Order: sequence, then C-alpha cells, then structure tokens
Amino acid sequence: MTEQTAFYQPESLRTAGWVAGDKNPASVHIDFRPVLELIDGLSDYEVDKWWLRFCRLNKDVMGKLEINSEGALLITPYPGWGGSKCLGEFMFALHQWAEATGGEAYAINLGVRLPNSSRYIPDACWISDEQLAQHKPDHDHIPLFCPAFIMEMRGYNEELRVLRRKMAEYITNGARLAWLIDPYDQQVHIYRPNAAVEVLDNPEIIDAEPVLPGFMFEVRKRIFDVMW
Amino acid sequence: MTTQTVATPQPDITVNSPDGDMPAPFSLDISSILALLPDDEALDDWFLRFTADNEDLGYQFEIDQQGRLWAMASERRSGAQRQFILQYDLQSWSDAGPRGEVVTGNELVLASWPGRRAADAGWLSPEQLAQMLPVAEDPHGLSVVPHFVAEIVSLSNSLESQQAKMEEWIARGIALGWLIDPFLRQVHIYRPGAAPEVLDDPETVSGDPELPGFVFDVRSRIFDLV
Repeated sequence: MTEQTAFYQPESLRTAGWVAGDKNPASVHIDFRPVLELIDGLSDYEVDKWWLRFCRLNKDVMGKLEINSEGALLITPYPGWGGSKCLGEFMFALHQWAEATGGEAYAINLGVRLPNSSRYIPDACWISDEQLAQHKPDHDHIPLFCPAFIMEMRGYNEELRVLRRKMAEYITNGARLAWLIDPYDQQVHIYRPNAAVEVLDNPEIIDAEPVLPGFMFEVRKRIFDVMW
Repeated sequence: MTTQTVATPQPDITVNSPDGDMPAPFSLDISSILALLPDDEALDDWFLRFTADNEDLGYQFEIDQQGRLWAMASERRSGAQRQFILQYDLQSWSDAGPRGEVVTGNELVLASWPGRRAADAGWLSPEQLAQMLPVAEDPHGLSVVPHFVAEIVSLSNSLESQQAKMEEWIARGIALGWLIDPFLRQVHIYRPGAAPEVLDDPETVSGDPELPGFVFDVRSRIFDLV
C-alpha cells in the first residue's frame, strides 16, 4: 500500500461520517408521497403519533424533518455555531417581550401543523393568548393552526426559493406576520397577509408592529455583525 | 401579492450539498413506514415507486436489514469502471466454464425482510438459475441470493458501510464474498462461519473452490487503475 493511493478517498468523506450517513450537513428534499399514501387511512391522531415516532427514530439525522403540503420531506441541518448563537439572541429578545406583553414564545423544536397539511418547525414563533386558549399543548398531538408570528433564519445550504415558499405558506395558513432573516445576503424579508413582501437591505432594527406591539430586534448587531 | 397557488402538487426535490458536485449521502430509519406494508410484493411495489419518484436526485437507494433507507451517491467514473471490469471478467469466466449468470449493481436483491440490496458484482450458479421463477412471474428484484457477491469501496461509499453490507450478505447465505478496497489495496475474503481473511495488495485473488477456476487479477484490473 502506498501513501498516495490510500489518500485517494478524500479524508473528509471518511471522518465526517458523510458516507456512513450519520450526519447530514446538506439540505435534502425528497419526494415522500409514496410514504404519505401509506399512512393515508390513519386518523389525524395516529398520523401525529406516527410522525413523532418517525422523527424520534431519525434523531441522528441532526436536522429538522419537515413535510410540505406537496408531499416532500425536507431535511434541513440544524444551525451551527453562528446560527445557534443568533437564534439564541433572537429567542431571548422574543421571550422577554412575550413575558412582559403576553402570549408565548417558542424555540426551534416546536412542530406546527398547518391547515394545508404541511408540518413545519419554525426557527422561532410566538403564539398569541387567543390561540393558546383554543389550542392546548399536548405531547402526542400536534394542533392544527399556524402561530401568529413566525421567524425563520436562512441556514447554510438553504435555498431562498424554498424558504420564500415556506414563508408564503405560513401567511396563507394564518400567520399575521412572518420574518425571514437572511444573514448571507444581510436582508430581512417581511411577510404580512394581503401585502407584498417587503425586503429590507441590512436594516439596523426591525419592528413587529402591529402584531407584536413594541417588539424591536437589533438585527444588524445581533445577527448580521456576528461572524458567519 | 405573496400568495401563490401551486397548480400541480409535484414536490420540488433538491439536494444542496456542501460538497458541490457530489450529492450528500444520507440515511433515514423508515422501519415505522415499512411496518405498514403487508408483504414482500407490496414492499417491492412501494420501493419501485419511491425510487422512481426520486430518480432525479441521482441517488442509489437501498434498504438494509434494520429497515434503514440508504441514499447513496451514484458511482463516479472510477467506481463504475472498477465494477464493470470485475463484472466483465466474471462473465468471461462464467461463459467459458460453468455458465451461470452475472448480477450487476442495477438489480436489487431481496434480502430477508425488509432488506433490498444491490451488489457491485455477483454471480448466480447454474443450480440457482434452475430454481428461479420466469421473469414474468418475478417482476421485481432477484428473489435468490447470489452464490458469490463482490463489493468495491468507492468514493460514494466507505469501507465501514461495505463491511456491514458484506456481513448482511453472509448472514443471508452467500457462499463467498469479496470486499475490494482500492484505496487501501486490500481484498477481504468472506466465507460463512469464518472471520474475514484480509489480503494486502495481492496480485490475484482466487475464487476456488466456490468459483472453480476463477482467478481475478485484482492488482492490474482494479488497484492500478487510475
């Protein structure tokens, strides 16, 4: 065996666990309709249980597992160092605001089920007091509604095209405000019902009037200026 | 308006891999889905549909014995070339002697439920061919496990994954298995009931007695291939 030939297979492939499939640094969308057809006959409750079990079994994928309304399974890697720090900053601000004002703030692990049958995991969301009164959280059941406010942050390898569609889905399914924060292009896309998408280039502060009255977020300092 | 209605509900399938030209391999535990399928035939139909729907992603799909779906990158030129050379030599030997049938990587072999595996190269003995159903009655994968299977380590798999696959083949009942690693220039020889025997940079490997008379020039045909 010679050094040169042994090195033929890129070292990163062997060590990063890529080939073994136990890490998943890419975002992948696969056609999941054949699977969804199999579970078509089950009740909502059984489908929720099946989905939660499927996600538990696939914890080692190290990413968000989501299904969109067209029947694609979306595998999106969890944010890395920079992304997690920024999400933490955002959650802290949102939580502080919610505690003082009302409603509840949720971080990246809350699964939501939209009326158009998509199952998404927003990076951050806020559920209003009226929504909380109607939908009681339950371990085995995912309520069918869209939180009033949604924030998604574009991650490494995430395509804007895909995120834009997701944001539009949130709005058509009942969100009153949705933010797409894109640290790579330093932009914030603001989605509201019955309004054109507003794109802000490198804003210093964004505000969430009138859905979250008084909530301001220093996006430049907390996200764009963090090293990416 | 931001709202868009999508006319045809055709999922948008993509892979965004940090490695650019190479689709990122991944695996998913789909045992909870397979549990909903009644039998092998339903699984075959389902799997054919699934692979056809996801054809454009450029993956090769297999299901292992634990019900895990493996999406592997398709072979690149070097890997495909090595597979073809081994299949070609196997075919020449088979035609000149025992007249069996060579199995290529395009055929899925039905391992025990719910495994669906493809071998880089394999060989069905004349006795096995005699027991097989006509193609019309057996439209899906091969229901007979080959007499001999070879797996080649390539850029789209790893030694570890191929070793696990080889163990599965042996458990399923092949008589002889070769695991060829062109990066480490090794051949691992698997036989039922024995630990794998590792040959370091051999010039040839012999298939005796399971493949009588088959001697494969592994060094010149595979290791020295650029």
